[in-house]
Amino acid sequence: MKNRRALSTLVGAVFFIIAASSTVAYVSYSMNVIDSFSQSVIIKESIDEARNTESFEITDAIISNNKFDLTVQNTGKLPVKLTKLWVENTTDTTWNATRFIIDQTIPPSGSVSGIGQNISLYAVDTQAYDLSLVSERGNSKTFSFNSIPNQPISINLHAAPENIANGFSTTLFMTVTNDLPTEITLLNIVPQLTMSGAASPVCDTSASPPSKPALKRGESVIFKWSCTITGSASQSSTFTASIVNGIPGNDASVTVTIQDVLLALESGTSLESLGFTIPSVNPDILIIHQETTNTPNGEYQLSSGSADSTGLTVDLDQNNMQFISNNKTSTISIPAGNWNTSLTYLSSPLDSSINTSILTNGMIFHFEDNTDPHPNSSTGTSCDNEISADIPTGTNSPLWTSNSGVYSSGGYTFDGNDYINININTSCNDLDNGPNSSAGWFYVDSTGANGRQVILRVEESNPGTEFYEIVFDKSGTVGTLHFRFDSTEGKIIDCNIANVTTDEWHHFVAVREDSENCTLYLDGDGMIDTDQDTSNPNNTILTVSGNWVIGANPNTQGGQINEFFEGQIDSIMHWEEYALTSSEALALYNTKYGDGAHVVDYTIETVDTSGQKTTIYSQLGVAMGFIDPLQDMTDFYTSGNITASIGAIDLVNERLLFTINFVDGLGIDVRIDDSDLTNPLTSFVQLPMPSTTFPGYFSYDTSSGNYQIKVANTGSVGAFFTISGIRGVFDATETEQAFASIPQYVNGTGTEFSLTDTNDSVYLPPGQSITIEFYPPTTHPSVDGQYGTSITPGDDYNFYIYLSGYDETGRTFFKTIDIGGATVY
Amino acid sequence: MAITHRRALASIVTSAILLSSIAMLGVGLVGWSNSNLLSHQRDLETTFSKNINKLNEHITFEKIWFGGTNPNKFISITVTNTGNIGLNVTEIRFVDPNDLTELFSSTIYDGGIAISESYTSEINYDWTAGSAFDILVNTNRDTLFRTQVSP
Repeated sequence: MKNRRALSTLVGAVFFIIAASSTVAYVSYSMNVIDSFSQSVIIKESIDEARNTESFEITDAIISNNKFDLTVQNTGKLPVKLTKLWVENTTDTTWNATRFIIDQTIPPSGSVSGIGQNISLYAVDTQAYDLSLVSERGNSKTFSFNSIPNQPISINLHAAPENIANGFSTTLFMTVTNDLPTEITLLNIVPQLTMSGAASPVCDTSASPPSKPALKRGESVIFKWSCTITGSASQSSTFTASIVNGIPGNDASVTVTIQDVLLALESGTSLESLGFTIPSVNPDILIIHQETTNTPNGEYQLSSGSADSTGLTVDLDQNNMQFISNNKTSTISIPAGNWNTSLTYLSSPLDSSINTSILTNGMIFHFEDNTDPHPNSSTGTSCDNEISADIPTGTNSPLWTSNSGVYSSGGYTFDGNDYINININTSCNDLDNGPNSSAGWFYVDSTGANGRQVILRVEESNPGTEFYEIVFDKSGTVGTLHFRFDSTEGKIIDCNIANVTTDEWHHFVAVREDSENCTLYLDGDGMIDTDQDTSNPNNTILTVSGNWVIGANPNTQGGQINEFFEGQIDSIMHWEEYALTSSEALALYNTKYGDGAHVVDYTIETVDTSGQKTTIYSQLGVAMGFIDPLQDMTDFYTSGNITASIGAIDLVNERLLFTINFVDGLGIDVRIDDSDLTNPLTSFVQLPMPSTTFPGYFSYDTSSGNYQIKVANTGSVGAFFTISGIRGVFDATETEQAFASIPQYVNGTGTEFSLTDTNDSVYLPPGQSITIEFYPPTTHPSVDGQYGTSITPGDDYNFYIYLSGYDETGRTFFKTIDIGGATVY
Repeated sequence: MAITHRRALASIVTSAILLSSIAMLGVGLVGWSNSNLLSHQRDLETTFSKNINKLNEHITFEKIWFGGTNPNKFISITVTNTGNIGLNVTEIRFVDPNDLTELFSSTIYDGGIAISESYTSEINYDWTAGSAFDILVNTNRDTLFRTQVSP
């Protein structure tokens, strides 16, 4: 039994050993596998870590010996081996990106130059490249050389200062920021500058710095140029900065303007001499000034001096205008040619006898311009921006020309499928209770279709049937003009006038006095028709909800615009809450919203020293055109001319006197002496080029020694003058000689008011004037004019005043005032 | 005596039967366990090698550039095997990064890349300047590499 037990134990032990060894082998294998996997992960992580910590930058990039010369710095802690350089020519798109082997190792913190010198590629300065450096670990970095990628980057341009005096410098600062969305470094950024404008800038030939070797993402660089700008006041230069080989349109601009007073402008000070300002450089242009001092009979001064900044609006229909030049003893020869008086003005919207409620509750469309949408030119406030005329595009667009309107004004021609929409507003044109009045001009083409041709119509939206319309029912070469409305859905009030001719302009005034009465006037009060229906009470409210349509029937019931007009329609006007009277209808008919809106008598005379006048040109009843004031009676946007053809004349000690007397027509506001106007200019006279500059309104009597100049501070900040900053300069126009004066007194006489090194001027408050007294002008400006040669009487001079000092904010200012031609006797 | 002989024989037979049964069971059990362990070992080895190989696969997008003009626009994609094992690019796809719609797909048949070597594929594709999309590269081990580009 013992032997048997021993055998069983042995068998069991064998099995146990087998099982245990298998298990141990499996566990050991598993452990090895896990260990091996862990080792692999660790190795992989270390590789990835090395790849991620690898870092290099291009610190310089140039083209040397027609090859790239890149300097690369290892900015990481591991050695970097650069293996490849990809080059793509982005200027020449036929180029394929090419790979070059470089195999260049860079130790940590080290750098290597000359990368690119040993490759076979030749680079061109003017072309743009994309470069890609690839390391052995697989990292690559992309750079744009001489260019930026196909996305704009941030470019800003600033000028300091933006307003400078003639001949002074401004500094342009161009800030370029690499804000590309991807990690691209820009290499060799080269800025470029272009200039435009009337002023003449001279800038550094290259920026400082001329280029930026490398601009990493997120970095900025500032380039600077210094520019000296010359020109006359208000001229400007616009600078546009961009990157060479950049994306078109990826640029920035800044405008630098020449202004007489640089620092003073910043502080609000503006100085002008009383009565005289800067003369034009064109002797043939004489500006109408608002000043009347030193003119014989209070006429406005006429001289080559430029306009003031203040300006003046002359109500010509209330005040006839006269403007007169100064005289000089020497001869001014004016050759034969056209004399053009250019008046910048606006016409009144209405004859003075006509109800003005249209300006606040109504609409006026003269269609003087082909604008879309055409603004309501009621010149009031309520409806200015509430309604407008929408001109359709395509085949439904009426044809606009500058003379197809009434009295050769701008207007639209409707060819049988055209119309204009005007939106509805409760304050301006929704009819409602009324009373309402509508007026306008129309010209029916006799060759057009017979039947109803709608001049204007507005109606209730479907299913409503109320409407308001002016319709020409054509039959051959005549037709019947209807004014119809329906406020009760089926009860139509109809005023009509038959036998209205085609192929000529007619004026209508349609009045809806109330729900039961209408009156229609044709061509003033020449033909009148009324209608009344009191059979049943009408709805007092005329309900319309669609657009006003000019030239067609909106036909919302039928769903298709029809009954198109063929001819011209102009000067549509609507009073929302007023019934025009017959006299007003007549006044409207007589108003010429085109040529002849204003009638003036125009005269040009010479005036000798005794006041004797000689007429050299006179025209009575000069017709002046209508200039739509649109929505702003102060926005002078165009001008009108009165032209005279005059033979050659010589003026010897004579003045030129221009007289414009208002005779008839709409009110007219003329703008003079306003330097802020640039297009059009302030009102002026242009002559054939005279032999010499017309004299200004300054004269100097050499026998009187000192002379005085008045200066006004028209700004908002007071100022002081200093002895070093004031001079009076006479420049002889026909010789190379010039004379100048230094000041003796300011605002008085005596020691207290003398201007010296230790004594500045008194304070000149804003809005006040001050008198500066100068010593006699000589070639060597000095006290009492004791040195140099005295000025020569009788010669022609241009006179300038130079002013400078400091203002109440402690800022310095300076300004040169060109007085213009001066008489020295 | 005869009875004693019978009992002894029975005991021997019983013991023999018992022993042989135990031996058979033991052999079966050991065989089964070894077989099972070997099977697990093979699975483990397969999984290990697959994952290790996938782990060691790595490619970098070395250069992607957009060339050509309409209607012959193309994209040239150069990838480099920066892992420590050879790999085989099997598919390149373009995907809209916004809605993940597939813009383009191409099966690659010659995409074997040894360690540190590069592979370039020029794909005809009507790319649009400024319109970004993702480029996805698949290997035969089903490793996916992705980058976003904007022409």
